[in-house]
Amino acid sequence: MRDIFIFLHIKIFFYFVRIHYRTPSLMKNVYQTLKHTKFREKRAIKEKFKRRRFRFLKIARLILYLAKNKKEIIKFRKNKSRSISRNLTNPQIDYHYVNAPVDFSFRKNYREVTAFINKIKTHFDKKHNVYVRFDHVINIDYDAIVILLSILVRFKAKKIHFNGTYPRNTVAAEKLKGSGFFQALKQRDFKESKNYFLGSENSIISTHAETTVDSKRSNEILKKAAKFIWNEERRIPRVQTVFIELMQNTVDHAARKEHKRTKVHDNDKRHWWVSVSYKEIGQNKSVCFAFIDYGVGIFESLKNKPETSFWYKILDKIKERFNPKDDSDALKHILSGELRATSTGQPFRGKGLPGIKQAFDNEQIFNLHIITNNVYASISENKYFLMPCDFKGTFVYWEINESTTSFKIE
Amino acid sequence: MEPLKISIAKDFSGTPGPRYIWEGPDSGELFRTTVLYPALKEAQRKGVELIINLDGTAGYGTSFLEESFGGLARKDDTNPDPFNEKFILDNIQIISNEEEYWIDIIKGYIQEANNQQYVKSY
Repeated sequence: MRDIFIFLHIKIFFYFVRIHYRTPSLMKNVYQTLKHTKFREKRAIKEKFKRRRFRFLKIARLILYLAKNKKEIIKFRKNKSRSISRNLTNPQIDYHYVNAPVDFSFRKNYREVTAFINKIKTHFDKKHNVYVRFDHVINIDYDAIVILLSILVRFKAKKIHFNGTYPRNTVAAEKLKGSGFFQALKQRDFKESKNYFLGSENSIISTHAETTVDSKRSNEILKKAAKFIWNEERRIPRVQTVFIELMQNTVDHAARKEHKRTKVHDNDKRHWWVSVSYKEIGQNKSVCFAFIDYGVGIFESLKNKPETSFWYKILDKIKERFNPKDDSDALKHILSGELRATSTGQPFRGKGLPGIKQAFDNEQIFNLHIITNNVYASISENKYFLMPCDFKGTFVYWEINESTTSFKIE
Repeated sequence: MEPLKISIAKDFSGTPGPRYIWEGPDSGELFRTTVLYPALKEAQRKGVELIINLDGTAGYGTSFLEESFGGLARKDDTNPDPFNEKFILDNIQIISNEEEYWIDIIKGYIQEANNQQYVKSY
């Protein structure tokens, strides 16, 4: 009896011990035993060597691949940007960062905008990828749109990366969006062309570019402008004259100096750009034109006129006759057409630049601004002065409104 | 006899363009060689006046007009047999009701070209 009682107690004891043995706290204790710790250490070392072996094999495979396909890689590297050579496994585009001016208006903030253009041009010439920070831009004027779009297209056409940030200011962002800037930025299959059109037929801003004197195109632009102002398509001859003079200036300088009649090689042709924007303030409607070309500017092109041209040594003639204090004063005299043709004694008006000034004097165009080389001219305010920075090109801005003379289309 | 009449808008182009043919479409050089010079020669043969109407176009560049009219009096590769300034001014009548100032300017182009004081504007 006594033996049976002891045996039962032992059985019950071991039963509880077994239950207790199966609980987590007991499992944890088992896990932390010396035998299991050693097992875990051995396993960790094995995993470590396994990972190292895998990495080594990956690099070895890559080296073998490079050795086999050397020629293809060299060709690939030449065609792509320089950054691909930095990290072949994970190529990154190395951008050069440029901050856009806070007040992006060529007419009002010519200093910063000229510096911005020159910086971008330097990167373009060196084929650097560019990242433009627009975060802090508060104002983007219509004249800045043509600059931005022309820069963007030139980069894209040469397959150089161009990227940037959105402006935080919603008005500025909307203007850029409406101009077709982001659309062009995201476009992947951009090809170099003789002509471009950005924006859309119904947008507030549209931008055109060409390498020829295309009077048909300028006429279409003016017909659309007329429809906005007068609700019907009309001819605007004085403004067409201004357009043709500017296009002629751009195309002319690209030509060879000796033989103006021979065809210019395609590589020498230069685009002119014009952005057209529509403004409506109350009942007053106006259309703004911002024209730009990245040639050498008016003064440099005047220095290179051929001997047979009337404009040959025009700057020397102006110096002799009027003794201008600087280039801005010289531009004032050129625009006024005061220099007279020696044979007829008539003022040299109606030719090129003086014709543009004449259109302004006859109140056919308004708010006329010219920026070229180091000269800033606000003809409407009669301000001509030298800029501290040089702009290689010609920028002209003007507006038309209901008082501009127009004729019906027959 | 009735004078010969040309309307640039109807007989050539509604959008006159640049100076030279290579610069773009509807150039002054093209107008002079294909329309104006032959018309003036015909007027000379018949002994009549040539009336040129500038109205109805989208507008003119000064280079177009200089090459067209000044080129008549200037000797070069495209015009080996130029007209005399006096003949041109006596036998050409320019009508420009929309932009009257062009008439005097064109006469100035013809005079300058004839005197060879100024051969090419650019």
